[in-house]
Amino acid sequence: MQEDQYGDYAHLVLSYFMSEAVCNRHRLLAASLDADPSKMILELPSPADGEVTAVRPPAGAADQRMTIAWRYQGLPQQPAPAAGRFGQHYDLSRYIEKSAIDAMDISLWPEDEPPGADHAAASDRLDSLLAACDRLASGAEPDTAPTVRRLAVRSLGSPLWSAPPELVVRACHLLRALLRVTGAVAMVTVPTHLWTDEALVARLRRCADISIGLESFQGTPAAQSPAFSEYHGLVHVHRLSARNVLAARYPRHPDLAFKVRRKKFSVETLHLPPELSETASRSQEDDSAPARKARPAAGCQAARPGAPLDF
Amino acid sequence: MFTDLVDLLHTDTVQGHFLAVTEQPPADASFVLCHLINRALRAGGAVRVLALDKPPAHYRHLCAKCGADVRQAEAAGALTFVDGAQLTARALRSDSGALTAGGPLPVRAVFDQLTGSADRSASLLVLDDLSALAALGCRPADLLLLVHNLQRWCRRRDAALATLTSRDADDRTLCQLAAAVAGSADLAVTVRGLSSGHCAEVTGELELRRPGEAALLRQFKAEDRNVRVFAAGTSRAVL
Repeated sequence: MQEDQYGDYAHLVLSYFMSEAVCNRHRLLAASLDADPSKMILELPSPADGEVTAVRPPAGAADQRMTIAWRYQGLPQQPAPAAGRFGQHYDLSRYIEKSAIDAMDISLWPEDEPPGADHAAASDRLDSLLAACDRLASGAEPDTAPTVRRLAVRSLGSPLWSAPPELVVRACHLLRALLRVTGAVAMVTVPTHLWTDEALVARLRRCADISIGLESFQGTPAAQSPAFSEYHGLVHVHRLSARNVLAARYPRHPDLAFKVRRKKFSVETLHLPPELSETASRSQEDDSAPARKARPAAGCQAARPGAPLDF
Repeated sequence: MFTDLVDLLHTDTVQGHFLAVTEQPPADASFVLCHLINRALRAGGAVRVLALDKPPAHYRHLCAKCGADVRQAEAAGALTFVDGAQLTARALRSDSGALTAGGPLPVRAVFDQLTGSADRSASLLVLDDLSALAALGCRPADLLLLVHNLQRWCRRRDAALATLTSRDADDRTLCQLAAAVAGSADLAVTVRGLSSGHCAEVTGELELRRPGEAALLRQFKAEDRNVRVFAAGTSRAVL
């Protein structure tokens, strides 16, 4: 994901990705040099329709024999909210409980040293990150059933990494090679607006299966524009996966926009607002001026409206 | 097999030919490679594919969709995949076993994997794709040399060669690489989306260019199991 100018919205989407890992009890790696990963995982939005509990719900709980409302025994059961259900609605105003986070198998990178204190070379940092991804993606499962492993990397290639963009692109290719031979999925946000070489941005997009860019209106003239008053930014879909199909299916309307409300981040098709001004859109004077100017004179009519020769 | 493509590419999968496929994002040209693999398998030849951008599972799935018996072909040694992800992960591990982003992918390893250790002599080599190799740190000059050596290897053994290159307008190096590869090919196929935007009946355009001939422009529609090719302006949306 190509970050917006200040990265706020891209980080929000990344927190959705991490919340999904917690809700589905996937193993997770949270990596960042710009933010403390131990704080990142404490600010994950909570599911809107329930709480994530530290204790896994027992599988046979739904099969308990009903003694009073026995006639509802055979009805299909609703899936337990926020427990192993893919795709949730999240409430941005609430965070997931710390006890639920602590009960999860979450790895952090860097583990001990504070961000920015490491003076190692850029390639060493990237190698260290790849090693952490490799450990999580290829590591043996604990006693539980095999699950998806999620790698969330925030602001890869930001100035704190001091890594040239070529190296970041190469690291992303290596990460993709790693994901392909393991059961892992990664979401990486990259501040590409800091890169000066568009060719490397194109190569970065190319190395991802799905590449999306966010363009925020913050600090731009678009924020004041009435056309975009409903939205906080634009979503650019650069690349969608064409895995196992002859051609990727791109959205019919490529113009997408996002908005952040108190409780949710939503992506919608960009629509211009309707014209609701109280004054007529074409007043008599406004209408007549350019139109009459263009109208040729006919008969005893002057070319200019209101001219003394008009009779 | 895509019957419409047979008419367009019928003379170009013969031995010794080099077919350069170029895709312009967001278009995807892997269906052309699948078509070539299917044709070679039906002709009883052996195919060796380096799947770097798309995984081997993608090609297996699409070839099976188009009617090829992929499982039997792989069991008989007629179809061999070299997983580019494993090749990359193997070639870029340090002595301690950790992945390292510091060095480029050695081009020699790609050549050896594509040409060496085959049980039977391949009649078609497929390389997907050169732009991923460039992003992994291979220099364009080395990649051109790789293509040249593969071409020589194929000519000596009467095999055909097909390469895929992604060409983004923002990346001048890749544009030059794609142009250089297409310039040395017996047939250059360019797959691109519609410049006018989304259309339900047209997925994109195919441009075929043979040395000394005028370019042939066609439009195509990718369906679930087929690719329909037609002259520009004769799609269902128009007629």
